[in-house]
Amino acid sequence: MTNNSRTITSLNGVGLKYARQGAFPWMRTPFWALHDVSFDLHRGDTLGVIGRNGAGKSSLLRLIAGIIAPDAGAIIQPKGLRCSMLSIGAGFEPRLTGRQNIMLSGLLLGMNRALVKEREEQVVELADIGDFIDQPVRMYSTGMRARLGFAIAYFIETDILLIDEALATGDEAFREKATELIRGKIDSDQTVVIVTHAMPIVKDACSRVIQIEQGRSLPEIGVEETITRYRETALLQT
Amino acid sequence: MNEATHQGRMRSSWTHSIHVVWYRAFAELRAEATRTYAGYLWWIMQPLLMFGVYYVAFKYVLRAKEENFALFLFTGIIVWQWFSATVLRCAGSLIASRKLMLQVNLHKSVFPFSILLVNSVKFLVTLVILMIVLSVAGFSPGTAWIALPMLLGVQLIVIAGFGCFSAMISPFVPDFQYILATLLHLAFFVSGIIYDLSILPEKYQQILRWNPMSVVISEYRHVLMDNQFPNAGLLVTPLLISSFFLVVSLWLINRFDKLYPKLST
Repeated sequence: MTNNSRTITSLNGVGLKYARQGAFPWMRTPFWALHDVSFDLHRGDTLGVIGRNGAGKSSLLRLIAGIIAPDAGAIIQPKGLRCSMLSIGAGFEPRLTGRQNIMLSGLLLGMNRALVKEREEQVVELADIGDFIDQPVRMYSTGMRARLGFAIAYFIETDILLIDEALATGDEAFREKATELIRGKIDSDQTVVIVTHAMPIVKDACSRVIQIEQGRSLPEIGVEETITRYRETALLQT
Repeated sequence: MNEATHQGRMRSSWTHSIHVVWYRAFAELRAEATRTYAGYLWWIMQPLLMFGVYYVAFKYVLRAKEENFALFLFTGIIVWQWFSATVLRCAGSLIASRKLMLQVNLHKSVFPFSILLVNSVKFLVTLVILMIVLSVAGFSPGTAWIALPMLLGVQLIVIAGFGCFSAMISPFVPDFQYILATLLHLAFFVSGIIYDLSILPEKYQQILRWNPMSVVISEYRHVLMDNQFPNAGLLVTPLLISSFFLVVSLWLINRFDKLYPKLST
């Protein structure tokens, strides 16, 4: 709210409901995952989103990404703004080789062919899985899959990068490397929204933080203060 | 800022969707071929073996009186299978793509269309086999064969129409997939695949002209086996019915674009 010209996404009283399955289609009951979430996102922000399990954090990322639409309130974004989730291994076809999956997953993540071709060697290098790159992905270990998936997703070019905390895949060494690379992105001009439970990440990397409790965004305060408030509410509710 | 570079390189426009459809189809065809030892050879062997079975069954087992019944049946069945297999798979396409839908923002019509493309490529290969078998069996290629692209085009729209319709509806009513399987089974028997429409009383023939696939199948036979140009007048009804389905379904898929990912959770 410091400078409105820098605002690239603005959420006003956003609510989101799902239909809870009933015995019959007409017995479905609505379930509000988010009631009232409001905040402005500015260019260059690194916004942390915290909240307990089931607080609707992942839904919030999907809303910003435009994958789903709000049922109440509004999300205001300039036309043509690109928001992408950092999805690891989106649309992998296990029977194809790693190289072929780079193209497949890259296209699905919204890169065009030229961009994927251009970045292919860098992806291979970053994934660092040796000869396996020309083997079918079904031969990969979980860790190798994660490495390749991460390497592809790393090269997304987007205005807002949306990160769900489930980055913690792969072996220890790679996890460290991935975290470091993400930190690199966060520290750059890249606008990032990151959903996490890890308070150290929030503390070190985020310039702002939003706390969601029972589907509502709490008033925004400083990062340190929010962490304290989060710990207190967590204690109160258990 | 660096937005300018993002434009064009990262796209969600429909030209990008076409690329996605192409590459997904290519990926699936390729993946399918790598699954078996004979690989791509199966595309040729499968229809040939199928024809072989019909040939043996009708010539030696059932001793069909009608000459060339095996060819007659083979033509009907491959044309039918292009339709039924595609429509059936399209019905499950959005449901099967749940996970992906929640990760990336894609036009949902990408899913049925990549299936359509995969099955169309396979059908084209089978059609070439059929044309070779026909030529060998004495139905030499005639001038009417140049009308094939038109028939292919009509059938493509028929399949796209029904395929997109089933893709559109089944996430809301998953039971539709089972109903569809039964409907397709019934349609198999009223599409003139195992018999020629002309053996039916005129009254029933009139009714079956409303069935797009019965018209298409009989026109394929006219072209391929009788060397007759298709009756364009008869093809108008299937074309209109299917175009209607296609346009309405695409419109609805587009309308429900943000709703489908929610249905999956």
